[in-house]
Amino acid sequence: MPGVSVLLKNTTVGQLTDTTGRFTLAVSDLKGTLVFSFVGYLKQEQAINNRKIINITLEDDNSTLNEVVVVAYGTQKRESMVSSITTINPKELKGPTSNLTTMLAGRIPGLIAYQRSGEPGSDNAAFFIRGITSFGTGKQDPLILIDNMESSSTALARMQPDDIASFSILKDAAASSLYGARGANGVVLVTTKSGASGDTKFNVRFENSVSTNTQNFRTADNITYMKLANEAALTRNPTSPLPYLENKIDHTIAGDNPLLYPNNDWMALLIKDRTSNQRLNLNVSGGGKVARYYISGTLNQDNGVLKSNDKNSFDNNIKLKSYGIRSNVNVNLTPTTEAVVRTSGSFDDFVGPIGGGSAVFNSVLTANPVKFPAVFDPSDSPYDNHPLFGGALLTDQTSGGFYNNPYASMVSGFQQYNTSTLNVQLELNQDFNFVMPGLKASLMAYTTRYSYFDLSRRYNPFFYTANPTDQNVKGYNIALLNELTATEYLNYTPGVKTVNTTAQVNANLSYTHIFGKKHNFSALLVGIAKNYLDGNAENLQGALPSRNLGVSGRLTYDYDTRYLLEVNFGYNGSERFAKNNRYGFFPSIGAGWNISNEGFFKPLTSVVSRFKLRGSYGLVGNDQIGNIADRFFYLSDVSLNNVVRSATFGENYTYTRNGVVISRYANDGITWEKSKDLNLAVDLTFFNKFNLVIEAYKKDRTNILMPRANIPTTMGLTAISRANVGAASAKGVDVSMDYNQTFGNFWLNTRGTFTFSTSKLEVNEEPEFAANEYYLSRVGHSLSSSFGLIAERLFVDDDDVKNSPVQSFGGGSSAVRGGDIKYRDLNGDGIVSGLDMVNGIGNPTSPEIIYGFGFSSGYKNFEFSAQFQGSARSSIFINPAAITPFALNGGNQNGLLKVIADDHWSEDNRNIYAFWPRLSSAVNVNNSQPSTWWLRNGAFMRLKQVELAYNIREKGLKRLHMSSVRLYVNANNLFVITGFKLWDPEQGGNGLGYPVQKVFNAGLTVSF
Amino acid sequence: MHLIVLMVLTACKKGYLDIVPDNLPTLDNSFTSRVEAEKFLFTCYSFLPKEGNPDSNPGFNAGDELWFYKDPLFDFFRIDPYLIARGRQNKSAPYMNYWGENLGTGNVTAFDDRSMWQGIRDCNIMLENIDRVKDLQPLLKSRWIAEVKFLKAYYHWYLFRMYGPIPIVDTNFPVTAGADEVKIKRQPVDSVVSYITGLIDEAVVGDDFTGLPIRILNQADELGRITKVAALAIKARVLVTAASPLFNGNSDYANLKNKDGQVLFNQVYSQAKWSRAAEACRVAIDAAGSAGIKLYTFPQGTITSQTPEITTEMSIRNAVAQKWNTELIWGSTVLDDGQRPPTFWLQLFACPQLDPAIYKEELKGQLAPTFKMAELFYTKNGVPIEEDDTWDYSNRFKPKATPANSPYLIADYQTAGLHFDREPRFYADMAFDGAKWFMKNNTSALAPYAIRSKSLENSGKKNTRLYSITGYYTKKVVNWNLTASASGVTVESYPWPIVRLADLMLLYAEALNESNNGTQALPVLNEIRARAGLGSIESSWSVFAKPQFKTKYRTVEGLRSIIRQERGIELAFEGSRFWDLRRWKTALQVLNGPIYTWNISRDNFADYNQRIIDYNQTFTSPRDYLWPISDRELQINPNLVQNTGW
Repeated sequence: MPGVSVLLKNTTVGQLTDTTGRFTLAVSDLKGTLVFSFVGYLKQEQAINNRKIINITLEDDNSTLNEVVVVAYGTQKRESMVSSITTINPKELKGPTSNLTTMLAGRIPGLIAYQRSGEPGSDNAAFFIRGITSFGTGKQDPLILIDNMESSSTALARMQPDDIASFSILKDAAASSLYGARGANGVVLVTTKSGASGDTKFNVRFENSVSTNTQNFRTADNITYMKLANEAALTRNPTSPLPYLENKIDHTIAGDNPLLYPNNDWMALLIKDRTSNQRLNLNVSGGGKVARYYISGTLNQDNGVLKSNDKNSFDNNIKLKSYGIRSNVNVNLTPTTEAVVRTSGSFDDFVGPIGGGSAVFNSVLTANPVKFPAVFDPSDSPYDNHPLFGGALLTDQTSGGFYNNPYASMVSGFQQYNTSTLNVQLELNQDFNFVMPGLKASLMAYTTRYSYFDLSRRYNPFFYTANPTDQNVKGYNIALLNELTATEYLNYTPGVKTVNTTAQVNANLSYTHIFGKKHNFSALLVGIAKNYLDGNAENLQGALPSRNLGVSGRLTYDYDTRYLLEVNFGYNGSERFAKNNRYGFFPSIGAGWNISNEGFFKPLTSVVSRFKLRGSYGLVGNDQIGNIADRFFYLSDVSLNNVVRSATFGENYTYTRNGVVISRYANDGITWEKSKDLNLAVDLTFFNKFNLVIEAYKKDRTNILMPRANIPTTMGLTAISRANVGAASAKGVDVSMDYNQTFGNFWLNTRGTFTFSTSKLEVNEEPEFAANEYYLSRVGHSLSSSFGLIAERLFVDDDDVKNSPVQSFGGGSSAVRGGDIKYRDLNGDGIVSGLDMVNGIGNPTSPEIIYGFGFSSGYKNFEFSAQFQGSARSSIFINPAAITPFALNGGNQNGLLKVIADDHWSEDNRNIYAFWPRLSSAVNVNNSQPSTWWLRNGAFMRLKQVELAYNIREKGLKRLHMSSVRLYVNANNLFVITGFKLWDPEQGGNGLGYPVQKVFNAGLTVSF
Repeated sequence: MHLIVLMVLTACKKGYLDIVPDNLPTLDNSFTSRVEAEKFLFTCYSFLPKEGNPDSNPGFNAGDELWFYKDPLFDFFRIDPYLIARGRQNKSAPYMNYWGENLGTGNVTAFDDRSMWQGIRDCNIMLENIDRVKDLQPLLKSRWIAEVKFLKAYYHWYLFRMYGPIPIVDTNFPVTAGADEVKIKRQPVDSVVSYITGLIDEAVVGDDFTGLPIRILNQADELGRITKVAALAIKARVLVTAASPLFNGNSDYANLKNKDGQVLFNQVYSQAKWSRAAEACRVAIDAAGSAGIKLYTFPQGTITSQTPEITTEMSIRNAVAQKWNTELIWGSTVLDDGQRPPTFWLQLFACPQLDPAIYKEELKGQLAPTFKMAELFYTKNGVPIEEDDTWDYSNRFKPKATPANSPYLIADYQTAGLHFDREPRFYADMAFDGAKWFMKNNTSALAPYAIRSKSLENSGKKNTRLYSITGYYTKKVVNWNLTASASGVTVESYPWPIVRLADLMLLYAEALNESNNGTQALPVLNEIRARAGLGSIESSWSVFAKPQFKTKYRTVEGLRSIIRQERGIELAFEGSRFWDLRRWKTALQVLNGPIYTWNISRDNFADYNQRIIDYNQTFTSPRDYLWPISDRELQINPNLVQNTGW
């Protein structure tokens, strides 16, 4: 390892290791102790003991307390830090996935993260630093900076842990106020590796994994489907025609020809049990005195779990190929000047079914399973060269159309999208030591170019229906239903094309100095200018560039690393606001006290090796408020040629003039969303082995942009004006702890994180609710809390309905009956209506608690690790309309979930607490109101990852020119413990989509 | 180096964030030239409801005049009127909400994108800014101001008719006005009425060359714009409405008060209001006369072998459906959904399959007149069916064989007794199983289209949606130029009559009678009856009515009943009845009853001619006389009070 400091203890004799990791030290005798140290590794001391050659392996410093931490525009020693910054060892982000964001939950204290979908390309986890603390329509997720380049969460998702040098989360105002207007939601800071001078080193990692759905939703069998479809029709209208005749049901029970009596299990017909994915990453680094390089390349292929049809020349299953290439080159232009060029490109090529994989999963439950077979055998019509899909005409002939055959929809076409992200960055670092010791300057400029396009190709499937006949040995003939519209050739549909560019220039000036040995002082001044251009703007205002301009600074001072003080500010301008509100000043202050460094604490250090108190308070802002289309709040948005407001006159109605619509009224008072953040923390280390960091925070978010909900319509506004009137608060606790122990050849490292973040809406634009209807107010509830009726039970019978308050939902043919949900009439007006909906039912839909714990252990060459992750205090809102069995929507007819078949109210089984109310053939307006009936506890805990690895460190490797080989197997999402059984609880309300994946993976890492 | 960086940053700080070009469009651009200002004028017009569309005028489908099969699943743009007719109006999300609602999401929703309050605001913006248009000639400017003032009055009137006492917005609040300032309250009925009529008075001042034109000269481009006659006619309608029982001393609303105790409905009946209304009608009728507006009659010799029956029938039909006919005072040129010309959908919804050789799905025939309407028309003797001494009232629902050469009924057929010996307006306005239907391409008295509408017959129910639920069809609104061919249906659009002369004359007669001048009302009524081929009221009643009714027209009450029926018949299917029943306060009696239909799913005379109940309509008084204001608006503005009963 190059650059390791080797020092003879208690002397100034020392040396850095060379590029091959060797060192030579001239010592007077072979006694004394050598001290080896390197950033991020544990300091080691070895007595020389007369040895002439000393081999040493440095262990990673998992305690992280001594490390140098990447902070905004620089680095700081953790010991002297006062702000709230969590760093994570990039190794911990390694997992059998090509999406980095899925590895974050439970590993980083202070981060609320959850993954709603497992579909390749759409599987980014949502993550929020210290939760969601704004309820405006603007940006709520953190600012992501990769090598100080503002990036998207997809760019972060595509990062390879192998390439990451440091990964930090900036949580409080002291850490993020330098980003001023962009830092209110916290900052994710990632830096990539640089080369080190020395021999060229190769690193190759290859993984092959098998993935499968963690959990599929379960549907009932088709006999039950037909019987309950009949029940659903009759139970609401006894004279309604039966959807399925006894004859058909009997034939289906008997298992008669499934082409005549279809009996489809769509899940089995559309979805494979498993799929395999491959990931390859390699990197090369090295360099000499003048230049150093780090080059890496990545190739990932993720496949979906969808089935395909051999008749097609294309494969409709999801294939996401993502490529990445990165090159970081550091050049010493002069002894004091360093130039860094970082270029990287990231490319996604996606092919999948039209509408995406989620739509396929959805169609499992939105397709009739018994009206038609998925596909006929090619021998049924040997002269046709296309798949013979089953089809059925919708019964209402006049509206035409067919029942949706999800198999036909899935295999009859494909869509693709391609994205390219290119980053080029140039950084110049100048050391002004010769002018003034400790003075440095740097200039950084980058540009990011992003492009995306999608398109789709499909043929119009041929639909056939089978008719029984005696003429044919098979017992049936098939007949084509849509000869006029079906095509054997592909039709092409162009899609969205997105291009945008970002460019930014940063200039830094920094100064560090130690006065009189104990007064440590540093200062930093940064100027930034950023420009973003969108090539797809729909109107003139959107086509104007988005710009930020700012100056930020930081002053730190500590006395003897005992008393710490830090002052930060950001002074930022955004083009979105009127001149008088364009610039915002975001100061913060932080202070800390390293108690364990005090003389009086010395006696205790054998037990409490470290004890630090710190706190910060400051202001951060957010300029990305409101809808992106509403950029210039200080300008009115007027369409002077609007067809909605046109009028026509004349003998033949030919004289038309378009009219004027104001879609935004000018308001030059609109400005930043602001957050006042208070952070208090204690850092503790016991016995040098057990680290504990506890942070508590409170955020007061004000100036949240909201539409004026209390403007009466009589004012005649065509757009309701907005104002910075909303306010919210959030508070919570982040805890992280780790424990390291070594027993001879065995080492153990355990860790745990706990994040609790709760929010509260403080000021909302809403009508003044009367005292008896105050529950309609959102104030005082969590920002992501739900709104709905209080469901009491199901009605016992129709008389029960008559004797209860009138439920105003539905009517006519969908009148409320026994077995429908009975709601509470909260305001006592005798009518259950929208006025009886309560805010804050259940827990918020995004979890308030995220936790994780796990361990890594090693014995000789073996390593074993496991990580559990969980979330709590969240509610899942089942969408009843989406799962209402038999409901017909266009050609989509809903299937029957097993849970509904097993547990619903019926005349024979009047269970007033059944899962599902009285059946109906259509979505029931009363029962599909948002209500507590559909709320479930979303808490879960899952085994997120286990890994077993074998490191070959044998001498034999040398002969193969390898330095290390690591073989490992690991698995993700092996099991989950939860009270929610319908689908994977992490999917939340999105349960009919593409499930989160369970992955089994084998990998190999080789270093040369 | 750092100094340079900082200097660069400071230098570009001034300009770097000023990215907005100076000439982004703003509201100011609307008033820089005549051409731009004209767009704003049209914006003010754009809030006029689609009166000629069966889904956006409650007069068609929200009452008891026309009926639509069950909850429609196809062939509608907006379902609101059908739900109102079935008693589903509600206050949490009111149907046909022309008031509009601030949902708190930043948008205002309103029925058919027409919040009348937005229209009023735009009118005020136009009036505030019109002086800034440099190149607008004074005469044109005075006309535009008058038009906008009228529209502002009309939008207030439109809300008044639906909601009763409403707030008045004479000037706009600035956008930045405080939330409490804009929470305005409702104004008493009389204040609203005098505000509306006062505004119309301002709009009609001036000689023939200033303000509103007496008639449109540039017909190619401007027909449909407001004229003095139209404004005066609307003023007459407003005053008649204000004098009517709903708004004149209506004690049902005695307790509808503002939060400060202000009573919103006047509690003392005032006959002077009728006199004022009569005078307004007279002024409007005089103005119409001077503008050349007169009752429409179908010219002799328009078609070959024109019989007197055809002349009468086409005089009745074309008084409505003939483009820009002589009787039209104000026709709506508001385009239909899908940028179709006016009445395009109305005609397609009304017209059944006519030619057995051509089946077109465009011809829906769903707009179905009710039994009540079929019974409302007079007998051929010009008196009500229940008052005619010579008409077989008791057997009216029984089928009867048709005569060989009736001008109205197809030969060798059977149809209900109700369809025999009725006045020409009955046959001109409606069709039924066994009726004849003249069209321009088929005017031969010998072979008009024949309506056969039993199950599976040409005009009858053949599938789940293209049929009349009652068995009646609305012939009146279908222009006789409509043609269907294999290649498609061609619709001759006509401006929907918001006011026509006959309507104004009937208002006049009503106001005269109510102000004890019934004898002056008779000649006005007789003029309308004559055009419809009927004798005078005096002769019809004295000759044909049962003894107890012979002198009915001589009392105020008797003549009131005659005028109301005459109005119902003359303006049948024109959207007037819905509002008339309300202002007369008779809706409680009339709208609490069954909607009957013929047994349309049967295929023979005996089975088909059975009267069956489709729906039992209910009307709750006084709740249903006025629209509910949405709950949310009341929450937002605590100074607004809800209408009684909601």
